[in-house]
Amino acid sequence: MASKKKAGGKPSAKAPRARTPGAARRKTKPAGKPSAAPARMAAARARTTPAGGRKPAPKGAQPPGPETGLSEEDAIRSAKYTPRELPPRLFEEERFLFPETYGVNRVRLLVRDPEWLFAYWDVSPDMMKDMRKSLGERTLAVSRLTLRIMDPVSGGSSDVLLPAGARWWYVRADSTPRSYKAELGLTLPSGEFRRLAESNTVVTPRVGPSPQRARRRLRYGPTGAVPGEGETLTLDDVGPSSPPGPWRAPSIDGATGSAAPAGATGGASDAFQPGGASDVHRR
Amino acid sequence: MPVGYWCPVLHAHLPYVRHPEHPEFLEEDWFFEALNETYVPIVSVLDGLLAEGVEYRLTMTLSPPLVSMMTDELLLSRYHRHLDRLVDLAHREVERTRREDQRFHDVARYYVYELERIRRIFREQYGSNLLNAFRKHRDAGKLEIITCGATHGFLPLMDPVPQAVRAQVQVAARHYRKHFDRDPTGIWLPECGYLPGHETYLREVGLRFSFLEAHGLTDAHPQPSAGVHAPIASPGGIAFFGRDMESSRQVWSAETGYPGDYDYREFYKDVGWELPLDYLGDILPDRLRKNVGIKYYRVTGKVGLGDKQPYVRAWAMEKAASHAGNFLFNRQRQVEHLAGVLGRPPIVVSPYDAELFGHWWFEGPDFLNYLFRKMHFDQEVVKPTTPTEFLERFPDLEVCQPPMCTWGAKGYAEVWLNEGNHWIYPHLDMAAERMVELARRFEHPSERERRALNQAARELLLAQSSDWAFIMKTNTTVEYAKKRTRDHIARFDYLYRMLSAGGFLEEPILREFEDRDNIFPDIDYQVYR
Repeated sequence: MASKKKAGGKPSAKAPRARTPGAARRKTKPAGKPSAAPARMAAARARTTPAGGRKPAPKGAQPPGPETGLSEEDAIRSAKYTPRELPPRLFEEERFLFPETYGVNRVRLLVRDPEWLFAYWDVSPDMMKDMRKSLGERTLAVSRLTLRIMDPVSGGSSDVLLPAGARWWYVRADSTPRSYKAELGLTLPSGEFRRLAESNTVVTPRVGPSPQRARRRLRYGPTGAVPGEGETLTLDDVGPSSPPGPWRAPSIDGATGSAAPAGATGGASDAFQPGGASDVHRR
Repeated sequence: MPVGYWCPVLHAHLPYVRHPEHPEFLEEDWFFEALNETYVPIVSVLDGLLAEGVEYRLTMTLSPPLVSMMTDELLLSRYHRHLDRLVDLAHREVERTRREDQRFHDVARYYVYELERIRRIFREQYGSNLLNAFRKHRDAGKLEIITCGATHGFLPLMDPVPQAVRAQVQVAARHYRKHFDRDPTGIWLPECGYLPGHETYLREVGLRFSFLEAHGLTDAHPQPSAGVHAPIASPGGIAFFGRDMESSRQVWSAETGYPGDYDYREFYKDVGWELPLDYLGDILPDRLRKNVGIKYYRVTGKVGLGDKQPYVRAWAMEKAASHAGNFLFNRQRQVEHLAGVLGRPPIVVSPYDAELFGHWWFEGPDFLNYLFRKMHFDQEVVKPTTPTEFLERFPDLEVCQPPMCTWGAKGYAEVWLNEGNHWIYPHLDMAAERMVELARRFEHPSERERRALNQAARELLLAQSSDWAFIMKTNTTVEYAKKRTRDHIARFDYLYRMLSAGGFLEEPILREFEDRDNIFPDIDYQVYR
């Protein structure tokens, strides 16, 4: 896979070129003070300066007249620059800020490549309140949000003690194709793991040619490449050559990176400080 | 019977860029440039081949966003305006070069000829609807048109919400039926992104074949006996063709590929950056510089832009013909070798971004023209084919399970999932989940609710375009890609809140969204159930 179309120095045919002088001319001006509130409707006060900075006339009005202080000639000349009337914008997308949390407990796993998984999660503030009640403020304060990665088929698991504020993590996968599932939970000072959410299951791809040669054939027809009448496909035809053994991976303290295997760690939140896991993560 | 077959695949796709809220919008130029330099020139080549009885075969993806843009009245009217301005500039350039710089005069005259020809083909021959052209070539049995994801969403990363994957496929298939009057049988998986199991969604709409990056076949289990040179059947019931790397590299490679030849037109030196603003006039509507498509220099060599030499069209055509001959020679030797090893006629599948031909490699359409002619008139060793034609001729397929794969750098998902763009996935994922929730909750919506639900589906689909993550990775128009992601998610978020909380859906806002993001007018949000 040395030379892939988008890997080299040549840009994709359709890749837009970097713009220099006017690159940011449509960059929207933040409308007012940023706020964590969702996009606010401005229907009642239709905005008069749209994102592009052009001033539209109020609905139904004439285009703006020339500025005062111009000579008659200039005023007439300026008529050819009369702006086109633009519809007033009602919805201000630039006010929208991606939420910090969606208020649910969830964790997801994605396969980036045979060696890395990407996990992201959300923790419901209500759930944390309940935890605070049941565990007590002090216990919760010293508990650690934890990402537990496991192989639900062959067994084995690894814990990542997440640094405060982390919202995602790159997880080093095994070198053999394997199933993975994640659990998000709290590790209490006692070592007990309290599960908050469970992820989807993913499978990392095999790399390299299979040692087995294809034997089974199918006939392509009007419904695709499917077994004909009386034919079936069995696991023997395409099943895994040999299932992997249990997954063995060390647990990691994401806040210090101390237990992280060399070069095999992930990144944490945007606010994550150097010295942690993401600092040694190089791709 | 030939010794082997060549299956060229052009993947034509651009993201849906349409901004009615601005009288001019720079990113809409991507579509106009591709029409001028790729889509119309390719149609013109195919027309010539058809008229002269050349037995060409070509497979093309026409992605749903591209088809939508090709039939959008606003964009078409803007394209006409753009093309008229460009033709006007080309005429002024003939005069200017006659007076001031004779070195470029011939090329300036060529641009007038070429742009007027493009305008005539588009406007007069096909009535401003290029789909008429593609349908004509399909009906002639030469062109196989395949579909793609609805908005080119990268399917492997949507997998946690299966309905999101299904909707990308279902909406695309329905769109295809509407524009091409039949069901699609083949699909270009966006970014060639395959995840085992996604066959289920493809088969639901009657899709039967697709394409994978080379390692999708070479790393499949069990190992296919012909490598990438015969299609396989996945246990999920789809026939997969594998990309041939040798023929790909001859065109894609920056170092050794044809487009880098010193006689071809230089992409990066454009009059839009060089001539006085006042002179360029309304081709730069807001007086901000950009490429306009008139370029006078050739690649020349490994020299700076200041040392480029004038473009000589005749030399470039010589090279295009010569490279077509070289490509054909290599395919002949390749299929002879493979046929000897495999004991059966091999297929060499060469997929490219369509926009590579013409937009990036200006002489690309001419190369295709020479290649198909040489293949038809000069030899019998290798013949062009389409996937359907090949499968009908050779229907017995080995059963193998491909691994997850894409055609991006390193072969997996890193281009669309890395530290520059991974922040989008929690939001896309949540929007998809919420869309499923809405679809399930609203079984009998009011008319306005139904419109809002359909619009929410459009916003989600547009946010999912893999183009945004790709642009964030390649660091080109990153601000625009971020803005598009934010805008669609923001609109989706508003609709979700109004629908789920029983809020008041304001008609003017809903209409604004419908006017802004008008793709898939017939969408049915129930596809997310």
